[in-house]
Amino acid sequence: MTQDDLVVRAATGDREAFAALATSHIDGCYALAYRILRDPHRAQDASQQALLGAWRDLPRLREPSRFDAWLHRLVVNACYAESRGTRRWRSRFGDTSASVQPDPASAIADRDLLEHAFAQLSPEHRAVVVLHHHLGYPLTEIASTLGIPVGTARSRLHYAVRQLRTALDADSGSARPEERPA
Amino acid sequence: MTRSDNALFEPRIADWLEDGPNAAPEDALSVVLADLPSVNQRHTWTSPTMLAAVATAAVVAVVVVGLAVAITIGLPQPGVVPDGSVSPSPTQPIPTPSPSQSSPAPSASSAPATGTTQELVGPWQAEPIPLDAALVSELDAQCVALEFMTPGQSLAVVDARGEGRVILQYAGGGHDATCEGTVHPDGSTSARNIQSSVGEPGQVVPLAATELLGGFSFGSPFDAGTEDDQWRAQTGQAGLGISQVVVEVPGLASPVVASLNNGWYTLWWPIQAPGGWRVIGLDADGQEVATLDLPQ
Repeated sequence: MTQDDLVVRAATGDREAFAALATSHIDGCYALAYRILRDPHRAQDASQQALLGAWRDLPRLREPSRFDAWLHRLVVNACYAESRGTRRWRSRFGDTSASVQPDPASAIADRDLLEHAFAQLSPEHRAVVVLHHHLGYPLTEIASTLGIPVGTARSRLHYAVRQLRTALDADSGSARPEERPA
Repeated sequence: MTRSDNALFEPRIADWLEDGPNAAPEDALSVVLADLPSVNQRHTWTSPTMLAAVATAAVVAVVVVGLAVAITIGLPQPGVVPDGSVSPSPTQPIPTPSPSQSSPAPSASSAPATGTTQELVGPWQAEPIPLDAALVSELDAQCVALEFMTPGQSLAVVDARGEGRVILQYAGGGHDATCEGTVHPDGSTSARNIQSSVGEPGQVVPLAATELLGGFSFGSPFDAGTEDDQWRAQTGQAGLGISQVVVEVPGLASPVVASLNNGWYTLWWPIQAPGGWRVIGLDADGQEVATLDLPQ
């Protein structure tokens, strides 16, 4: 059975078909989410949210052949949502000795320079960087996947790369003479 | 920075991105598959007949809801806060913004006046601003239209305290969701999806009467906020024996009073407080019965 067949069947409520799709795509979803969020727990949350969203909205996918790009869009959107908040559930009130979960913000701070600079970017800019430099998407495909104009994708990528370079240059003290203020 | 500079630099990005996991944790898939039964599929209706039927039903619904609102609210009276709303949430409990969940329903003479647009977009304040039911309904409709909530979720509590920010907390079906509404200076509104707990089983749990649970925290800079836009919000559950929830935030002169309703509290404050904050539950006598230090 082809992936398109599975997509069509899953869209009609076939959970086994969707389970097969989810099994074959969850690693890719997680890898994409991790590279945008740089946090394993939030990446897992985002990939799970994306797959549940895929199940929910699959009947609305008109072109089964676009499933991969559509799922990537769901992952990116889930990453946006994850980036906006942190979930901190506690077992009981007043129990300050309860299990400790690392603050994702502080974890990011311990990474290397590129990691640190990447963390300063907005989720929207990170997503474009990952889609382009990790998945190898051309700008037109990024625009199509994210539902944004090509010009927006281009400007986001340009801005993000420039910010990464600027941050690394500043941090390493290697700013070139023409970049220093007069 | 030249194009050739970037040509040398960009492979570094690709190499760096290459490092990282390519396989999801073992339990990731099982959580998704276990949650499938709780998520209903959404179908697109494309039949012209069905669309016409839907449009007709929508018109009828608007008329019925309009009549219901007119009957419920009646003629406007100075100082009266309508205690119901016409929210399009799947089920609608009590979206009445209030700092207390156990106080009696306000009478016409004691009910606080609802916040004006000027107050809602004005400076942040430590106590919630009462919201007009029509505004709650409008924001609720926008949040529901974002389609990120699961069936069975309804509006539990709403919080507004200036700067145009309105937090709408939803709960139901074992999950919760958060939506952020914005009241603009011209009185218009907008909303955006903040989070849904679907995919994280067991997030909404039964509580003891005097139990507090820290739920979800968000704000800038996670939201790409700037240094001039530092804020943080906290939502969570509170047992029904808790009449008021306040939060002590280092750096703020006085505790922040949360909005509390239907066993949920929510609030936000205009600084980051990286050292954490303390959530305190008070009973009807004002006695401290629960504390929660966040983030732990």
